[in-house]
Amino acid sequence: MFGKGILKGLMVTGKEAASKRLTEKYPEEKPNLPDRWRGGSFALDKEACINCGLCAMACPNKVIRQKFEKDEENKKICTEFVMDRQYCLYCGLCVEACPKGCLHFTQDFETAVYLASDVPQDLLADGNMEAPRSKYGEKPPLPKPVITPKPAAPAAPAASAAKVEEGGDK
Amino acid sequence: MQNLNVNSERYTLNMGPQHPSTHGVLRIVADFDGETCVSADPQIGYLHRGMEKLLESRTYVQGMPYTDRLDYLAGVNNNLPYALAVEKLLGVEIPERASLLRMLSCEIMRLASYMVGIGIYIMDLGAVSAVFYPYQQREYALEVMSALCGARMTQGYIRFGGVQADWNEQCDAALQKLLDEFPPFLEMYHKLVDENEIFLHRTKGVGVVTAEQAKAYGLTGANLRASGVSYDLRRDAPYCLYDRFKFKVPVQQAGDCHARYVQRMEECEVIYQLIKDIYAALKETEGGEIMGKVPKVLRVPAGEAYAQTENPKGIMGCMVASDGKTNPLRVHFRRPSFDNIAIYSELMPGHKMADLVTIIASFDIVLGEIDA
Ligand code: SF4
Ligand code: SF4
Repeated sequence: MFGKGILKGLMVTGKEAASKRLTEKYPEEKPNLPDRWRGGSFALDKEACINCGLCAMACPNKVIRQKFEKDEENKKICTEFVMDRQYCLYCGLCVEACPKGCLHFTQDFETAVYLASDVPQDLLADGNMEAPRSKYGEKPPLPKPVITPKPAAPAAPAASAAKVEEGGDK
Repeated sequence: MQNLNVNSERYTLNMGPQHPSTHGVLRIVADFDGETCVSADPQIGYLHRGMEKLLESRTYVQGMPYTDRLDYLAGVNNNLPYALAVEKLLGVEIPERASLLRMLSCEIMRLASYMVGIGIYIMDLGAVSAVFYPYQQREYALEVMSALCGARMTQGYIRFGGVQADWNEQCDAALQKLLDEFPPFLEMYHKLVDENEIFLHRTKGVGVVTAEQAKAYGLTGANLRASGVSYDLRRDAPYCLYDRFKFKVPVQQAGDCHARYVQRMEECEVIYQLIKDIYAALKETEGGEIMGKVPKVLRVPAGEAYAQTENPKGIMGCMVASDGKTNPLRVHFRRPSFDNIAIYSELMPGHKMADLVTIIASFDIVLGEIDA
């Protein structure tokens, strides 16, 4: 009979229409973001930052605007640390590059703003450390070093091992 | 223009670039005689971002996030050929666990991409409700990826020498959800679409590609296999650790739009089984390394390398030329959708206007990849 297949399909649609709702009722229901979420805004632990500039060097799109100066004691200080988020790819390379683990993604996702000038995020003025932090780029704890009673190996293999550093996860 | 039929008018019609059924910004300039197409010419370039040039001006590592934006429906699959090509030059060894994670994430995104391909195909034929069910499954797949690497679509998960992050419990839970939900979905979808008379009438015998034509035009992926050519890189030229796994490569003989639908549905079952197998293998390498020994500042030895992978849309190839600096001298991608649409000019003439939509949809193209 012509139309049997259509009826069979419509029965499926009818059954699905009566089934449980799968969508989230945003904004009443908030999405459940995974731990490693990347996106939204950034957070910076200003105390831990060593002003090395590696994050800016890792960025493919020149999102991170940094300026460094020398203070009276000839110490390097940071005078500007702005994330131009309008260019950001949310690739996470900056967070991974930070040797101190002080740059983070946050779990913010409602980042729409009224003014274009509010998009760049001045991390020096506000480190944004209260925001729920994402675990992206966090390194797993290193295994406990096995302490051997006496130094057995000569220095040569240690030096060559130091040359080849591991990329990415350290 | 000469009019072949006195009762009808000949005219040129621009389909796209802003047309909902051209999958983005594809433009087809077609001549019609009444309702029948006499010539068709796909025009591309509306989404051109100069991807290959962008990669030249960035370091190797910085280029990785850009490759995601080629076939944006399966981001991580585009990382892989680029990584494999550069790794050939570097000569690094990839840890087993990293290879398995690469394969697992690629298969998950392959499933997600097929879900879009099938869903949008049916929607373009007028069945709007049929797009939402596959999208739900895609959502489960994207949840796995976002638990794994934090991003849903543009993942950039693969790094030279390995992968960015290890599997964790959240990924376990998300993958379990996908594995539980997928088989009942597939059964339900077969019931919903397979016997629908309208669907069968609109797809059977439309846009027939013979095996010779498919090979001559360089079709790859599911579109090639739907024309009776059994060729899958994962089986015929294995990369990563695909040679360890046994899987079947489905083939259709008809080569029409219907065969391309059946082909994708059958491949979904294979992908599902493959995900399960790779996941089981991954569980056995718990605690293994996920990064090979790669120097922090990447200086790739001078030379050229080419690597190719089986992507959801077909064979993706990547050619990298290096002159020993920190950024590549030249990067070129063989993008499967770009090669797949070349056959349109031959396939479309003789079909009715509505069939053009069917043909475009059945090829499952993505414009990010065509225009690069
Ligand atoms: S996420 Fe990527 S694009 Fe954004 S600031 Fe970091 S490195 Fe730059
Ligand atoms: S990489 Fe880390 S420590 Fe270095 S400047 Fe950036 S945030 Fe500070």
